[in-house]
Amino acid sequence: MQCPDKGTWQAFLDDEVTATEKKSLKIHLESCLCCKKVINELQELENWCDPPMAEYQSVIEDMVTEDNKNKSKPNNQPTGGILKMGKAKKWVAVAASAVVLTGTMAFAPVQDAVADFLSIFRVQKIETVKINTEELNKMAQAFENKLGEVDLQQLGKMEIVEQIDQQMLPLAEVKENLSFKFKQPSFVPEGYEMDEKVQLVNNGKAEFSLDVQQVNAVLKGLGANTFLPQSLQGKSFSINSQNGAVSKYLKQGSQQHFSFTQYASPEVTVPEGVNPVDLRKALLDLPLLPNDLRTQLAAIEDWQSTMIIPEAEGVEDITINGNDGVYVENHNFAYMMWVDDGIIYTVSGRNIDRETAIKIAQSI
Amino acid sequence: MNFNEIYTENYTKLLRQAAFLLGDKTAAEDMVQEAFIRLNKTGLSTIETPSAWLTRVVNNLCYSYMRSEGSRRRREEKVGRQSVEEHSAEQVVLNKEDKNLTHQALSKLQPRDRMVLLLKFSGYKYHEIASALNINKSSVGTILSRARDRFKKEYQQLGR
Repeated sequence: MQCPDKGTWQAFLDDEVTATEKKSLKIHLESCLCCKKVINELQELENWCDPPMAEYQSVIEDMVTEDNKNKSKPNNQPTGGILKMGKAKKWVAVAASAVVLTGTMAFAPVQDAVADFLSIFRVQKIETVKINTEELNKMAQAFENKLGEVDLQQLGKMEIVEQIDQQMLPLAEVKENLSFKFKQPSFVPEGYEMDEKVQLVNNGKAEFSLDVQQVNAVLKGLGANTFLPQSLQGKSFSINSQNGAVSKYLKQGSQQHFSFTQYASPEVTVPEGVNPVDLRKALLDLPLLPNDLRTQLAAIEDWQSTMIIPEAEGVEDITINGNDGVYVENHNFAYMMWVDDGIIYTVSGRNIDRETAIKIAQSI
Repeated sequence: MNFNEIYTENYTKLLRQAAFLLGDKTAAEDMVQEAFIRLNKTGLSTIETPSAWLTRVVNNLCYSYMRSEGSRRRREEKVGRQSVEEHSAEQVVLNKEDKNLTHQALSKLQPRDRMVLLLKFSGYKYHEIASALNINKSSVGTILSRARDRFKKEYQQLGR
């Protein structure tokens, strides 16, 4: 049999071929490495495309729902969640600057002599903070009004020192290359099987330095009274993303799958002579931070090791084997994340219900 | 079911679908409005399942809107006029400026590719996609995989 074209394999993946075609395609696939590769590529492409599409869909739904609340029945409101990226995205930006300014997001100092000179932060746990949408919007508005367009590039330099790369490898090889112990759930819902290839993601490293004057000008524009010390000028912070693995579980005879990922926590290294506490203070003192958010953030004691997640509608706090985590469901897409011993785990998939997802997570 | 009931039952759902396809709420509202006008004209008695009928019409209207918008823009670019886009398919989803990369990347695709991608994501079957776009069912797979490919490239380009 001649190799079928990509379109045919796409239809095969989407279960859009007849039973007879399916049969002969399967037989062909058994012996054709080339087509196996094509299938893998198509699947990867789909996996790549789906998250931005899902995000986009929820942005659209928000937009439609917001204005239509008055027009339509109240039960028409779709569920929202952390994946409501329209808002969440702004948060990513805020959170990203939080890493720079305060380390609010993340990371425990390494408890040794080095700590005096060098602070390393690492995610050890997750905590959610409550923010209502209105306040979030107000804050975004305040940013916009006070600053207009801020070109982030003016604020500093960012350089990717080591590019993150990823490859599909057999499980044994992945285990060998991982800096921590590879885990697998012992409970897998009926019909699902782990894909033989596992994606290995390698370390990446980025460095950034701040233009203190510019940052302070921005802070001032925001009405701040606490500023960054001049000593920070030109010093590099670095973010190390650690290695990790993505394993996929496919349901036989359908396209359904869920993914299980495990990553060592990323680390942020603060340059010598910089006191992260000062940075944190500068952010917490920002006048436009809603008061109860400020209180909540300030109340997080081991802030250096805590990842902060805005608790929007639909985000649920859960506990997985004694570790705090979050669960989000959005358009049949379930997503769950928790941290255990410095490793960040996620389980996600379409058409996986909450109970099943939790069961999988607990079995790890 | 009378017209009003059909309207309340379907309006939000259709608007969501149209907005998803077009990335523009104002235009989406126009399309949905138009679909209901057509339903009224055609007459309820002749239509078996109004909600399926409406969905089909909305999809068709969105597709032709996309195509005519595309040609309008090309025309305008040809005569060297800057396109006036305060209220068009390119009108932004989020803010004054379009920060949504997905929307930007999608609007760079050909209408047919965009439709296939979005309809597939909405859960449509190949034969439904084929009939909405007036293409062969057998070419849906090919168009879909290419559309994803292009989408990824555009997205990555924009993200740089």
